[in-house]
Amino acid sequence: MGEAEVSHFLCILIKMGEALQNSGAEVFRVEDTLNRIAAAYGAQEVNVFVITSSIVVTLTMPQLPPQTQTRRLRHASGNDLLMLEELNALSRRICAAPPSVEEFQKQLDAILAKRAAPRLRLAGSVLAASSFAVFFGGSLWDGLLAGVIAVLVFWMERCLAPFCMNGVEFQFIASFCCGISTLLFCRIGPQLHADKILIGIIMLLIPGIMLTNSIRDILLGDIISGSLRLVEAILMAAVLALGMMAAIWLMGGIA
Amino acid sequence: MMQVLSQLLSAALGSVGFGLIFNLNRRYLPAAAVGGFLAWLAYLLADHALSSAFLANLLAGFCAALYAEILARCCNAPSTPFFITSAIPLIPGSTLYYCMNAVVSSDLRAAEHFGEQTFLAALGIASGMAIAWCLADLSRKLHVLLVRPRK
Repeated sequence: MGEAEVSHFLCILIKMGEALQNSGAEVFRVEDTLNRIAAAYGAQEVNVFVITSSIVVTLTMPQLPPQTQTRRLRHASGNDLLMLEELNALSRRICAAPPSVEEFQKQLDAILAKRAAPRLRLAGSVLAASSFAVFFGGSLWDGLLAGVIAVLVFWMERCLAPFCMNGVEFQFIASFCCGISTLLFCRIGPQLHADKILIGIIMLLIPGIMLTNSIRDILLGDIISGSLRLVEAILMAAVLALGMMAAIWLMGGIA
Repeated sequence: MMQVLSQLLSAALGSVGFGLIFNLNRRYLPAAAVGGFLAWLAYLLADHALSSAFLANLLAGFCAALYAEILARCCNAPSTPFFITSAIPLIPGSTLYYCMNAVVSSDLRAAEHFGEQTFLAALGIASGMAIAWCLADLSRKLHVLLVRPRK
Protein backbone atom coordinates (compact mmCIF):
# COMPACT_ATOMS: atom_id res chain seq x y z
CA MET A 1 0.00 0.00 0.00
CA GLY A 2 1.23 3.49 -0.85
CA GLU A 3 0.78 6.48 1.40
CA ALA A 4 -2.35 7.71 -0.40
CA GLU A 5 -3.85 4.24 -0.26
CA VAL A 6 -3.24 4.00 3.48
CA SER A 7 -5.01 7.32 3.90
CA HIS A 8 -7.99 5.99 1.94
CA PHE A 9 -8.02 2.76 3.95
CA LEU A 10 -7.90 4.72 7.20
CA CYS A 11 -10.91 6.74 6.08
CA ILE A 12 -12.94 3.58 5.44
CA LEU A 13 -11.77 2.07 8.71
CA ILE A 14 -13.07 5.08 10.61
CA LYS A 15 -16.33 4.87 8.70
CA MET A 16 -16.64 1.27 9.87
CA GLY A 17 -16.05 2.42 13.45
CA GLU A 18 -18.69 5.12 13.13
CA ALA A 19 -21.18 2.64 11.68
CA LEU A 20 -20.55 0.22 14.54
CA GLN A 21 -20.95 2.96 17.13
CA ASN A 22 -24.18 4.18 15.55
CA SER A 23 -25.68 0.70 15.42
CA GLY A 24 -25.38 0.32 19.18
CA ALA A 25 -22.06 -1.48 19.71
CA GLU A 26 -20.10 -1.00 22.91
CA VAL A 27 -16.88 1.01 22.77
CA PHE A 28 -14.98 -2.16 23.56
CA ARG A 29 -16.39 -3.86 20.46
CA VAL A 30 -15.64 -0.87 18.19
CA GLU A 31 -12.01 -0.67 19.31
CA ASP A 32 -11.53 -4.42 19.10
CA THR A 33 -13.01 -4.64 15.58
CA LEU A 34 -10.92 -1.76 14.20
CA ASN A 35 -7.76 -3.25 15.72
CA ARG A 36 -8.46 -6.64 14.17
CA ILE A 37 -9.24 -5.27 10.70
CA ALA A 38 -6.14 -3.07 10.64
CA ALA A 39 -4.02 -6.02 11.74
CA ALA A 40 -5.56 -8.18 9.00
CA TYR A 41 -4.42 -5.59 6.42
CA GLY A 42 -0.88 -5.88 7.74
CA ALA A 43 -0.60 -2.84 9.97
CA GLN A 44 2.51 -2.77 12.11
CA GLU A 45 0.93 -0.78 14.87
CA VAL A 46 -2.64 0.39 15.43
CA ASN A 47 -3.84 2.80 18.09
CA VAL A 48 -7.57 3.18 18.26
CA PHE A 49 -9.22 5.49 20.74
CA VAL A 50 -12.99 5.63 20.77
CA ILE A 51 -15.30 7.62 22.99
CA THR A 52 -18.98 8.15 22.35
CA SER A 53 -18.37 11.46 20.54
CA SER A 54 -15.08 10.86 18.71
CA ILE A 55 -12.88 8.26 17.03
CA VAL A 56 -9.09 8.64 16.69
CA VAL A 57 -7.05 6.07 14.77
CA THR A 58 -3.28 6.12 14.27
CA LEU A 59 -2.04 3.52 11.83
CA THR A 60 1.55 2.52 11.05
CA MET A 61 2.05 0.46 7.91
CA PRO A 62 5.44 -1.18 7.28
CA GLN A 63 8.00 1.23 5.71
CA LEU A 64 5.60 4.18 5.97
CA PRO A 65 5.28 7.03 8.46
CA PRO A 66 2.34 6.75 10.88
CA GLN A 67 -0.94 8.37 9.83
CA THR A 68 -3.71 9.67 12.05
CA GLN A 69 -7.32 10.48 11.29
CA THR A 70 -10.06 11.72 13.57
CA ARG A 71 -13.80 11.76 13.26
CA ARG A 72 -16.22 13.65 15.43
CA LEU A 73 -19.43 11.69 16.06
CA ARG A 74 -22.41 13.96 16.40
CA HIS A 75 -25.35 11.61 16.05
CA ALA A 76 -26.58 10.03 19.22
CA SER A 77 -25.90 6.32 18.96
CA GLY A 78 -29.02 4.60 17.72
CA ASN A 79 -29.82 0.94 17.77
CA ASP A 80 -29.84 -1.17 14.65
CA LEU A 81 -29.09 -4.69 15.75
CA LEU A 82 -29.30 -6.16 12.25
CA MET A 83 -26.67 -3.70 11.05
CA LEU A 84 -24.51 -4.50 14.07
CA GLU A 85 -24.73 -8.19 13.23
CA GLU A 86 -23.86 -7.60 9.56
CA LEU A 87 -20.93 -5.35 10.44
CA ASN A 88 -19.70 -8.02 12.82
CA ALA A 89 -19.98 -10.65 10.06
CA LEU A 90 -18.16 -8.33 7.63
CA SER A 91 -15.33 -7.88 10.11
CA ARG A 92 -15.06 -11.65 10.56
CA ARG A 93 -14.92 -12.14 6.78
CA ILE A 94 -12.26 -9.46 6.40
CA CYS A 95 -10.11 -10.87 9.17
CA ALA A 96 -10.31 -14.36 7.64
CA ALA A 97 -9.30 -13.17 4.16
CA PRO A 98 -8.77 -9.41 3.64
CA PRO A 99 -10.27 -8.27 0.29
CA SER A 100 -9.02 -5.22 -1.63
CA VAL A 101 -9.72 -1.85 -0.02
CA GLU A 102 -12.27 -1.02 -2.76
CA GLU A 103 -14.11 -4.27 -2.06
CA PHE A 104 -14.13 -3.49 1.67
CA GLN A 105 -15.62 -0.08 0.94
CA LYS A 106 -18.22 -1.53 -1.40
CA GLN A 107 -19.37 -4.11 1.15
CA LEU A 108 -19.47 -1.53 3.95
CA ASP A 109 -21.52 0.88 1.82
CA ALA A 110 -23.92 -1.94 0.93
CA ILE A 111 -24.57 -2.59 4.64
CA LEU A 112 -24.96 1.14 5.39
CA ALA A 113 -27.42 1.61 2.54
CA LYS A 114 -29.94 -0.77 4.12
CA ARG A 115 -32.56 0.94 6.23
CA ALA A 116 -34.98 -0.64 8.65
CA ALA A 117 -38.60 -0.64 7.50
CA PRO A 118 -40.53 2.02 9.48
CA ARG A 119 -43.61 -0.20 9.52
CA LEU A 120 -41.82 -2.83 11.59
CA ARG A 121 -40.60 -0.16 13.99
CA LEU A 122 -44.13 1.13 14.40
CA ALA A 123 -45.44 -2.40 14.99
CA GLY A 124 -42.66 -2.94 17.54
CA SER A 125 -43.46 0.28 19.42
CA VAL A 126 -47.14 -0.61 19.65
CA LEU A 127 -46.43 -4.19 20.69
CA ALA A 128 -43.85 -3.17 23.31
CA ALA A 129 -45.97 -0.41 24.89
CA SER A 130 -49.10 -2.61 25.02
CA SER A 131 -47.22 -5.59 26.42
CA PHE A 132 -45.58 -3.60 29.18
CA ALA A 133 -48.83 -1.88 30.16
CA VAL A 134 -50.29 -5.38 30.68
CA PHE A 135 -47.02 -6.67 32.17
CA PHE A 136 -47.13 -4.14 35.01
CA GLY A 137 -50.70 -5.07 35.90
CA GLY A 138 -52.91 -3.16 33.46
CA SER A 139 -56.03 -4.56 31.81
CA LEU A 140 -56.31 -5.34 28.11
CA TRP A 141 -57.97 -1.94 27.57
CA ASP A 142 -54.95 -0.26 29.16
CA GLY A 143 -52.72 -2.19 26.78
CA LEU A 144 -54.81 -1.05 23.83
CA LEU A 145 -54.58 2.62 24.78
CA ALA A 146 -50.84 2.30 25.44
CA GLY A 147 -50.59 1.02 21.87
CA VAL A 148 -52.43 4.10 20.60
CA ILE A 149 -50.09 6.41 22.53
CA ALA A 150 -47.14 4.44 21.12
CA VAL A 151 -48.30 5.44 17.64
CA LEU A 152 -48.14 9.05 18.84
CA VAL A 153 -44.58 8.48 20.12
CA PHE A 154 -43.59 6.98 16.79
CA TRP A 155 -45.08 9.90 14.88
CA MET A 156 -43.28 12.40 17.12
CA GLU A 157 -39.98 10.57 16.63
CA ARG A 158 -40.34 10.88 12.87
CA CYS A 159 -41.90 14.32 12.47
CA LEU A 160 -41.09 16.29 15.61
CA ALA A 161 -37.53 15.16 16.43
CA PRO A 162 -35.93 16.96 13.43
CA PHE A 163 -37.32 20.27 14.73
CA CYS A 164 -35.92 19.78 18.23
CA MET A 165 -32.61 21.28 19.30
CA ASN A 166 -31.39 18.00 20.79
CA GLY A 167 -32.48 14.69 22.25
CA VAL A 168 -33.13 16.18 25.68
CA GLU A 169 -35.64 18.69 24.35
CA PHE A 170 -37.37 16.00 22.30
CA GLN A 171 -37.54 13.67 25.30
CA PHE A 172 -39.21 16.38 27.38
CA ILE A 173 -41.78 17.27 24.72
CA ALA A 174 -42.51 13.63 23.92
CA SER A 175 -43.04 12.56 27.52
CA PHE A 176 -45.10 15.69 28.23
CA CYS A 177 -47.39 15.07 25.22
CA CYS A 178 -47.76 11.39 26.14
CA GLY A 179 -48.62 12.29 29.72
CA ILE A 180 -51.24 14.87 28.69
CA SER A 181 -52.90 12.67 26.06
CA THR A 182 -52.98 9.61 28.34
CA LEU A 183 -54.55 11.58 31.18
CA LEU A 184 -57.10 13.11 28.77
CA PHE A 185 -58.07 9.63 27.53
CA CYS A 186 -58.43 8.48 31.12
CA ARG A 187 -60.85 11.35 31.85
CA ILE A 188 -63.07 9.99 29.07
CA GLY A 189 -62.80 6.33 30.05
CA PRO A 190 -62.74 6.06 33.85
CA GLN A 191 -62.14 2.30 33.84
CA LEU A 192 -58.64 2.90 32.42
CA HIS A 193 -55.60 2.88 34.72
CA ALA A 194 -53.48 5.91 33.83
CA ASP A 195 -50.48 4.69 35.83
CA LYS A 196 -50.20 1.37 33.97
CA ILE A 197 -50.53 3.05 30.57
CA LEU A 198 -47.88 5.64 31.44
CA ILE A 199 -45.51 2.90 32.63
CA GLY A 200 -45.91 1.14 29.29
CA ILE A 201 -44.99 4.38 27.52
CA ILE A 202 -42.07 5.00 29.90
CA MET A 203 -40.61 1.65 28.92
CA LEU A 204 -40.51 2.95 25.33
CA LEU A 205 -38.85 6.26 26.17
CA ILE A 206 -36.54 5.24 29.01
CA PRO A 207 -32.88 4.97 27.92
CA GLY A 208 -32.55 1.45 29.31
CA ILE A 209 -30.19 0.24 26.59
CA MET A 210 -27.99 3.27 26.97
CA LEU A 211 -27.82 2.62 30.69
CA THR A 212 -26.87 -1.05 30.34
CA ASN A 213 -24.33 -0.24 27.61
CA SER A 214 -22.76 2.47 29.74
CA ILE A 215 -22.43 0.13 32.72
CA ARG A 216 -21.02 -2.50 30.39
CA ASP A 217 -18.46 0.02 29.08
CA ILE A 218 -17.42 0.99 32.60
CA LEU A 219 -17.11 -2.61 33.78
CA LEU A 220 -15.01 -3.47 30.72
CA GLY A 221 -12.60 -0.63 31.49
CA ASP A 222 -13.78 2.13 29.12
CA ILE A 223 -14.50 4.48 31.97
CA ILE A 224 -14.53 7.75 29.99
CA SER A 225 -17.06 6.59 27.37
CA GLY A 226 -19.08 4.76 30.00
CA SER A 227 -19.32 7.85 32.16
CA LEU A 228 -20.32 10.01 29.19
CA ARG A 229 -23.10 7.62 28.29
CA LEU A 230 -24.13 7.15 31.93
CA VAL A 231 -24.52 10.90 32.42
CA GLU A 232 -26.53 11.09 29.18
CA ALA A 233 -28.76 8.20 30.26
CA ILE A 234 -29.42 9.71 33.69
CA LEU A 235 -30.15 13.07 32.08
CA MET A 236 -32.61 11.46 29.66
CA ALA A 237 -34.35 9.56 32.48
CA ALA A 238 -34.56 12.75 34.57
CA VAL A 239 -36.02 14.73 31.65
CA LEU A 240 -38.50 11.92 30.98
CA ALA A 241 -39.59 12.09 34.61
CA LEU A 242 -39.82 15.90 34.44
CA GLY A 243 -42.00 15.82 31.32
CA MET A 244 -44.40 13.31 32.85
CA MET A 245 -44.43 15.17 36.15
CA ALA A 246 -45.30 18.40 34.35
CA ALA A 247 -48.18 16.64 32.57
CA ILE A 248 -49.50 15.04 35.77
CA TRP A 249 -49.21 18.32 37.69
CA LEU A 250 -50.99 20.27 34.94
CA MET A 251 -53.84 17.77 34.83
CA GLY A 252 -54.22 17.89 38.60
CA GLY A 253 -52.93 14.41 39.42
CA ILE A 254 -53.93 10.95 38.31
CA ALA A 255 -57.70 10.80 38.01
CA MET B 1 -51.17 -18.02 38.75
CA MET B 2 -53.13 -16.32 35.95
CA GLN B 3 -51.28 -13.11 36.70
CA VAL B 4 -47.88 -14.81 36.55
CA LEU B 5 -48.75 -16.40 33.22
CA SER B 6 -49.94 -13.13 31.69
CA GLN B 7 -46.80 -11.41 32.99
CA LEU B 8 -44.51 -14.02 31.46
CA LEU B 9 -46.40 -13.86 28.18
CA SER B 10 -46.36 -10.06 28.02
CA ALA B 11 -42.65 -10.03 28.93
CA ALA B 12 -41.97 -12.27 25.94
CA LEU B 13 -44.14 -10.10 23.66
CA GLY B 14 -42.49 -6.92 24.96
CA SER B 15 -39.07 -8.34 24.14
CA VAL B 16 -40.26 -9.13 20.61
CA GLY B 17 -41.60 -5.57 20.36
CA PHE B 18 -38.22 -4.12 21.28
CA GLY B 19 -36.59 -6.58 18.89
CA LEU B 20 -38.68 -5.00 16.13
CA ILE B 21 -37.90 -1.46 17.29
CA PHE B 22 -34.16 -2.17 17.29
CA ASN B 23 -34.36 -3.94 13.92
CA LEU B 24 -33.28 -7.32 15.25
CA ASN B 25 -32.67 -9.97 12.61
CA ARG B 26 -36.08 -11.55 12.06
CA ARG B 27 -34.61 -15.03 12.51
CA TYR B 28 -33.79 -14.13 16.12
CA LEU B 29 -37.21 -12.78 17.14
CA PRO B 30 -38.22 -16.13 18.73
CA ALA B 31 -34.93 -16.08 20.64
CA ALA B 32 -35.82 -12.60 21.93
CA ALA B 33 -39.21 -13.88 23.12
CA VAL B 34 -37.60 -16.80 24.94
CA GLY B 35 -35.00 -14.42 26.42
CA GLY B 36 -37.61 -12.06 27.85
CA PHE B 37 -39.60 -15.02 29.18
CA LEU B 38 -36.56 -16.60 30.84
CA ALA B 39 -35.30 -13.34 32.34
CA TRP B 40 -38.65 -12.65 33.98
CA LEU B 41 -39.05 -16.30 35.08
CA ALA B 42 -35.63 -16.09 36.74
CA TYR B 43 -36.67 -12.86 38.43
CA LEU B 44 -39.95 -14.33 39.74
CA LEU B 45 -38.32 -17.52 41.01
CA ALA B 46 -35.46 -15.66 42.68
CA ASP B 47 -37.82 -13.11 44.18
CA HIS B 48 -39.99 -15.92 45.57
CA ALA B 49 -37.03 -17.87 46.99
CA LEU B 50 -34.91 -15.00 48.33
CA SER B 51 -37.50 -12.22 48.79
CA SER B 52 -34.94 -9.58 47.95
CA ALA B 53 -35.49 -7.37 44.90
CA PHE B 54 -31.79 -6.65 44.57
CA LEU B 55 -30.73 -10.32 44.53
CA ALA B 56 -33.61 -11.20 42.21
CA ASN B 57 -32.50 -8.53 39.72
CA LEU B 58 -28.92 -9.73 40.05
CA LEU B 59 -29.87 -13.32 39.27
CA ALA B 60 -32.19 -12.32 36.42
CA GLY B 61 -29.50 -10.09 34.87
CA PHE B 62 -27.06 -12.96 35.23
CA CYS B 63 -29.43 -15.39 33.48
CA ALA B 64 -30.14 -12.92 30.65
CA ALA B 65 -26.43 -12.31 30.02
CA LEU B 66 -25.62 -16.02 30.23
CA TYR B 67 -28.44 -16.83 27.79
CA ALA B 68 -27.14 -14.15 25.39
CA GLU B 69 -23.56 -15.45 25.56
CA ILE B 70 -24.62 -19.06 24.95
CA LEU B 71 -26.85 -18.07 22.04
CA ALA B 72 -24.13 -15.86 20.55
CA ARG B 73 -21.73 -18.81 20.53
CA CYS B 74 -24.34 -21.08 18.92
CA CYS B 75 -25.30 -18.57 16.20
CA ASN B 76 -21.81 -17.10 15.65
CA ALA B 77 -23.25 -13.63 16.22
CA PRO B 78 -22.46 -10.80 18.64
CA SER B 79 -24.05 -11.23 22.06
CA THR B 80 -25.33 -7.64 22.28
CA PRO B 81 -28.60 -8.16 20.31
CA PHE B 82 -29.62 -11.14 22.44
CA PHE B 83 -28.69 -9.47 25.66
CA ILE B 84 -30.46 -6.18 24.93
CA THR B 85 -33.75 -7.84 24.02
CA SER B 86 -33.68 -10.33 26.92
CA ALA B 87 -32.97 -7.73 29.59
CA ILE B 88 -35.84 -5.44 28.49
CA PRO B 89 -38.47 -6.74 31.01
CA LEU B 90 -36.02 -6.14 33.87
CA ILE B 91 -35.75 -2.39 33.24
CA PRO B 92 -37.23 -0.73 36.36
CA GLY B 93 -39.80 1.44 34.53
CA SER B 94 -42.59 1.02 37.06
CA THR B 95 -40.59 2.00 40.14
CA LEU B 96 -39.25 5.06 38.29
CA TYR B 97 -42.84 6.03 37.50
CA TYR B 98 -44.09 5.53 41.07
CA CYS B 99 -41.07 7.48 42.33
CA MET B 100 -41.86 10.55 40.27
CA ASN B 101 -45.57 10.21 40.97
CA ALA B 102 -44.70 10.35 44.65
CA VAL B 103 -42.53 13.43 44.05
CA VAL B 104 -45.42 15.21 42.32
CA SER B 105 -47.80 14.42 45.16
CA SER B 106 -45.02 15.52 47.60
CA ASP B 107 -44.97 12.17 49.37
CA LEU B 108 -41.23 12.23 49.96
CA ARG B 109 -41.13 9.03 51.98
CA ALA B 110 -42.64 7.02 49.10
CA ALA B 111 -40.42 8.86 46.62
CA GLU B 112 -37.35 7.80 48.60
CA HIS B 113 -38.55 4.21 48.75
CA PHE B 114 -39.26 3.93 45.02
CA GLY B 115 -36.11 5.85 44.08
CA GLU B 116 -34.07 3.39 46.13
CA GLN B 117 -35.86 0.47 44.46
CA THR B 118 -35.09 1.88 40.99
CA PHE B 119 -31.43 2.37 41.80
CA LEU B 120 -31.07 -1.06 43.42
CA ALA B 121 -32.70 -2.75 40.43
CA ALA B 122 -30.32 -1.07 37.97
CA LEU B 123 -27.33 -1.93 40.15
CA GLY B 124 -28.53 -5.53 40.55
CA ILE B 125 -28.93 -6.09 36.79
CA ALA B 126 -25.50 -4.56 36.15
CA SER B 127 -23.81 -6.76 38.76
CA GLY B 128 -25.50 -9.88 37.42
CA MET B 129 -24.36 -9.03 33.89
CA ALA B 130 -20.83 -8.38 35.09
CA ILE B 131 -20.59 -11.80 36.74
CA ALA B 132 -21.83 -13.52 33.56
CA TRP B 133 -19.34 -11.61 31.40
CA CYS B 134 -16.46 -12.56 33.69
CA LEU B 135 -17.46 -16.23 33.33
CA ALA B 136 -17.85 -15.88 29.54
CA ASP B 137 -14.44 -14.22 29.27
CA LEU B 138 -12.88 -16.92 31.44
CA SER B 139 -14.41 -19.70 29.35
CA ARG B 140 -13.15 -18.01 26.16
CA LYS B 141 -9.62 -17.87 27.59
CA LEU B 142 -9.79 -21.47 28.80
CA HIS B 143 -11.04 -22.48 25.36
CA VAL B 144 -8.04 -20.80 23.71
CA LEU B 145 -5.69 -22.34 26.26
CA LEU B 146 -7.05 -25.90 26.16
CA VAL B 147 -8.60 -26.46 22.74
CA ARG B 148 -6.50 -24.53 20.22
CA PRO B 149 -3.05 -26.14 20.81
CA ARG B 150 -4.42 -29.63 20.20
CA LYS B 151 -5.45 -28.79 16.64
